[in-house]
Amino acid sequence: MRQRWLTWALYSVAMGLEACWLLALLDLASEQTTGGIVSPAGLLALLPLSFLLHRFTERWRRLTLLDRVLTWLSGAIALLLAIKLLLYSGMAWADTTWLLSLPRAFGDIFNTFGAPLLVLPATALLWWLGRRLARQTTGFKALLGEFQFGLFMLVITLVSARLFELELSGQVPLVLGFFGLSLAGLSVSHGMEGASWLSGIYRTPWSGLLLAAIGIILVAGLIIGLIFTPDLLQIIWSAIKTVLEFIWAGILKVLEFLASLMPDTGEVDLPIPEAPPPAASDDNGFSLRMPEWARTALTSGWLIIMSGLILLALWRISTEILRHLRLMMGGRSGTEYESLAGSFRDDMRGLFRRMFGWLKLFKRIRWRRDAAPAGQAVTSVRQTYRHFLRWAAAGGYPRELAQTPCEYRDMIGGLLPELSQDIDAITAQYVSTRYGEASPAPPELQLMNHSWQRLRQVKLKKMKGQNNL
Amino acid sequence: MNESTTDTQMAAVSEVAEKLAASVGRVIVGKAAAVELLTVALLCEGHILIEDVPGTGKTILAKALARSLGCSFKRIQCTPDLLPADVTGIHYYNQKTGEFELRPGPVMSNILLVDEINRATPRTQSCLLEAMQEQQVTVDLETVPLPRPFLVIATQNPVEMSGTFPLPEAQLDRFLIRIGLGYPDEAEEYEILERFREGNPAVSLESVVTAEDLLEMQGRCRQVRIAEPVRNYIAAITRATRQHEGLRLGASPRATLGLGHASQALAAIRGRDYVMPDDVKLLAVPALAHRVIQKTESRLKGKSAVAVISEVVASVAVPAEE
Repeated sequence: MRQRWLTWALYSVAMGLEACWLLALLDLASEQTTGGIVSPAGLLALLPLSFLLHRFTERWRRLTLLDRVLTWLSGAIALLLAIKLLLYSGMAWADTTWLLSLPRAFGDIFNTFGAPLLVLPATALLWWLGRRLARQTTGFKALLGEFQFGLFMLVITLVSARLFELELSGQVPLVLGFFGLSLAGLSVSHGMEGASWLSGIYRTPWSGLLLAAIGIILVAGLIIGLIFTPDLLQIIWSAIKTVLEFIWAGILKVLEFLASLMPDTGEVDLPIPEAPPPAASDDNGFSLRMPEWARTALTSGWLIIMSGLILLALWRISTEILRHLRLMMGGRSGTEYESLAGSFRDDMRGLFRRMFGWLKLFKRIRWRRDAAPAGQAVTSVRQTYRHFLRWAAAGGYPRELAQTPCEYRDMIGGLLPELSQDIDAITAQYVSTRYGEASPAPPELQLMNHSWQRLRQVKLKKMKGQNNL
Repeated sequence: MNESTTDTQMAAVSEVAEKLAASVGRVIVGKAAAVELLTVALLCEGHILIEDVPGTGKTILAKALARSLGCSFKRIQCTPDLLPADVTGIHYYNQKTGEFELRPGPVMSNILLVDEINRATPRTQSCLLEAMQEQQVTVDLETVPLPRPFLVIATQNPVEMSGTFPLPEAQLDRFLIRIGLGYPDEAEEYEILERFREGNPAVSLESVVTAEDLLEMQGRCRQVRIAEPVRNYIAAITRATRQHEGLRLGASPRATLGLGHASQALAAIRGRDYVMPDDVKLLAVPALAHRVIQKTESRLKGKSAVAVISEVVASVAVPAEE
């Protein structure tokens, strides 16, 4: 019974975390697109509704078609209800004019952005989030993911609001509520599982670090907000400009001096280039007109994407730093872990591959490490094994920390028998190098490299219901 | 020492282990894992404690091992009235020569089987301490070295507690490994009936390894490499037992040494000249479970020392890439 209450409590916390950033996001979208006509709180009511409905229909989950029909049907009904209750509450139910509001809004899309056009994606997002939450098992990991993603979205939204010079209502209580819920949820889920790094022998310092970090962030945010007023920022920017101008003046003086040492060749009058002919006006050509709201939306989207990328990078950096600290503090003597620089390098490489891989641009470009032809050996046995572990982990088969390489080989070989030969070869070479302290002979290294090259071509995908042994 | 020489030497150890296993296997049905652990203890000069219910083949196993080794074998059946002199020997007055002469006790043999060691009094148990640890005994102020190889196989019955004297921690710590044989499965039980139908097959066993060969094998096992990460791993496991919340007393530095030597022996048996974390993991429970003392709360929760050590091993990270 207690377990059930705790589970529901965790679900409530997860929903609360989502509600915090969704409220901010919907408020921003409503203010920016419809001038605040659509009530974000009203839209947010769809989230718990979707959650409860999908918890109820969990029993029919296995009947995939029925489950999907129910989801779509209920989503459509929710959309219509949202439009009616939020936008046309004064209209009678019998009057079906409100039913045509959405098609009319689509028809008028190039002139104005109608409120139903905001309600449609908002409903879809909330309905999907409610379903996702209802169908997932909540725990420490899930809540941590919700916290990270929610924090990311909250920062994006608040920064965007600042960019658009919008004042969102209740920002401070929203942020405080977000952090308060996440703290409560993580504590409860950690207490339930007792298996995360927060429950190990370093749980006390890590818990203290977590609380201290949250406290410092909140206090620092308040202080920064108080101290760094726009006037102060202007003063700082002026000071930086003055310093840069001084440095630039110095550089110009040095260049002038160097130029004065050159023999005087006399002034040469360079010919003045002719002005290009004026472009012929294309009166008969077709020009794509863009509604002003679309232009604003695209500009805003671009700014949001750039801000998002910067924040994503900061998030990855902080995650890697925390992971590195965790490994260092974890007292795992003898465990090898990649240096921070190596982690960041690999992360950047992976990011670029993901961003541009679909253009197939980088298939023909060989990275510095892969620059050698396929026949040449990989430089390090341990590096190859590390890559193998990452490849397997990305496919859903991570190595447990207490699992030996041979146990891991047996486990993953049992799950993927068609790859077992290559996995055996890689593991055998790694084991003899790492524990036998033997220097691998070139043929052995080559064999390992060939095995790895074959494995990396395979895109691993964990089968449903397949668990690590 | 070059690689090929090391490989050959380890292959020889592996071959000896296989011969021993095959020889013992002619008597003991199944129990390959227990025989392997016995061989490990033998190769690193460690002592073995076999803890199991009566009738599971403890004594027969020890006898089969002794016969396969071609070493001298003595057996002591412990009872509460067993005296230390019955174990170590006595000086008696020889009327013919007019001098006191030493009559060595059963401890002066290569393989000593001590049956139901927990039925002997603490005084008698403690006289084995010196023998097991120092490889010597003191009889009436005369210190006598024990023959090499010297192996003590002690058995005890975990069921009968009345009239017994549980082994103190100090003595338990001197056993390298503790094993349990367990009941045979159905097929094994049928095989036992068939095998022992016409008599005890242990009687016809011949030695497959001499004492000299065994000493040489023991020396080779000490040459097995333990890489630094694996050494750290061994130490991390024993240190983790001292920090586990379910244990009042964790494993000692002697346990760390024992685990290290046993891992070397196991690696040699498997034909390797280096220790892998798998060897350490396999030996952690047999080598450590009997050396720790559980807290009362832990015992009341139904956890055994074996479960606690397994938990410890599962919580220590293996030295490998991440």
